[in-house]
Amino acid sequence: MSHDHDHTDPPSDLELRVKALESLLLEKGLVKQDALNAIIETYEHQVGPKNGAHVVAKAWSDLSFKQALLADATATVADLGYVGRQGEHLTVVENTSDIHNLVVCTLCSCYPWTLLGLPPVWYKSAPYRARAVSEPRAVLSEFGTVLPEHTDIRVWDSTSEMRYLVLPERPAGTGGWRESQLQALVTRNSMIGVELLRHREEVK
Amino acid sequence: MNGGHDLGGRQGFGSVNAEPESEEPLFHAEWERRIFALTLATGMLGQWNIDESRHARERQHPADYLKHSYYENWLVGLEKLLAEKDLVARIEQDAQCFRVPDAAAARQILRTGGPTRLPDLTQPRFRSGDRVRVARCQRAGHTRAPTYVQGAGGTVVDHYGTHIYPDQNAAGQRAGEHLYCVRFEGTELWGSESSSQSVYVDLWEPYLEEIS
Amino acid sequence: MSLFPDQPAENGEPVFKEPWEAQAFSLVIALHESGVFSWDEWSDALAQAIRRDLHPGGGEEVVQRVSEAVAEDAGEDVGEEAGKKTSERMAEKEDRPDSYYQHWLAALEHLAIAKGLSGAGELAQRVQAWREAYLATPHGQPVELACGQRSV
Repeated sequence: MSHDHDHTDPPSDLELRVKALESLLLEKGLVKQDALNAIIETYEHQVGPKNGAHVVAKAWSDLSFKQALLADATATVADLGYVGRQGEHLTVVENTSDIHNLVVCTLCSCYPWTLLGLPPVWYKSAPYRARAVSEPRAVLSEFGTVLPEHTDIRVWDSTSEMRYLVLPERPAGTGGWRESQLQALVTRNSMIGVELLRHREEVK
Repeated sequence: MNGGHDLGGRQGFGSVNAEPESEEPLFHAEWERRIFALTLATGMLGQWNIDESRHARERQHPADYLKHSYYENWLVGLEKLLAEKDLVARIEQDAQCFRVPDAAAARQILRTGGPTRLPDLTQPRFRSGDRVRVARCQRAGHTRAPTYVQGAGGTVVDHYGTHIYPDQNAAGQRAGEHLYCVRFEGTELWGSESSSQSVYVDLWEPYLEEIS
Repeated sequence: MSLFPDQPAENGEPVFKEPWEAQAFSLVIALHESGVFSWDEWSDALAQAIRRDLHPGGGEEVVQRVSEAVAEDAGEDVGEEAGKKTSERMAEKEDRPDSYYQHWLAALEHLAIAKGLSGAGELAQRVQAWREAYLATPHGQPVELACGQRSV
């Protein structure tokens, strides 16, 4: 059967709507192409979980930094250059052997962009937003995280412009590691609070 | 409004099914990348604030809100704001009416962000340790008092100072109210059989009533 | 029962005397479905259109009654009886079938201005322009909007 080459199949309505929007806004001068590129480049290459991992590894390595971070996260990470949109006001909550923190935004998808970049799809999904506050242990188990019965699980619902970052527990067996080695251990999910960090020999 | 977005505690959505962190792309399609950038870039025109933007996404039939993917709701919100604010017609009438950022200005705006802290003009009504109850409130407009805490009692654990009050900001009226972090026991929210231990929610003073 | 009281109808189906009446009707339905306005807003706009077009000197009382009637009928739990009363009340004042869609058109024009719909319409046209551009572009070649299509 011969293939019809004199047309191109239009993409989905959704894609056409976005194309229509972009071409209209560009043509009318309401947005500039280089500004769009700068925005995309910022979140694809500059802002991401490596920022948060830097903060966490530094807190593990430097007690006075950690104390400052827990007392005033906004100012403390600003000193490292982590400032900007969706990170204007920050609180860092610390996991310990008895306390586990978990962050959610039930009303939309508030997330500390300056330290973690853009949120993953699951964080923005209805199941996570609905269940993190009402059945955190079940949600955590879906990430493979099973906590002892006695652990105090604290769920932070980001309803204001205050953004929450979890300071995970430093994995055992990492004494004497350099900050850069520690940084490589820190996952995005551990800073949202859905997983614990383990000593991974291969990282060292 | 308690539309499709007001999800805390809702049941029936099934499991989370997260993609593994190491495998998840930042955007799952080119159109997501485009609508993300367009939403931020048009937001930089200063014609609406973040609460108006959230409210534009929320103002949908709940079934539509839940059916749509995250960035699809962003598209719906932006289409709505462009029409309601009449941006295309306004720039056609007066090409100079908006300050449209270039790349350097866009980067600067992203770095500056939009802090919501305002000077404290009034004394806070509550202190850490105070027992409070979230007032029941069903209004048509935007609010950041989730349904699942309305009517529930909790304890103030922090006072964040005066912040822009979203309920009024979404209507284009910038005003400040004291913002608190309130701790709720899981059993207060979900009943005695709940396995949830505590939930911390940021709430503005007008949402709260004193428990004597 | 009909969401719209006094709409010219046969066997429950809308009856249109001219093509533009059907267009105005479907446009209102489509704009509501896309979330541009609620039925409450529509009933207000319709009531105002009736006041402007038929009672340029005033008629607040009629507007109030029409507004109430439309709002009532837009509700889900309004029975047949209430609908009939509404029709009778309005029939006292106006020759409804002749002017019915003129009022719709006037209300639609006012709502379109109030809602800044020129932008929305432009977007809808542009979606179609992109669709046509795809269909007109040979497979494998980059798809671009032609200049003529762009200036919608």
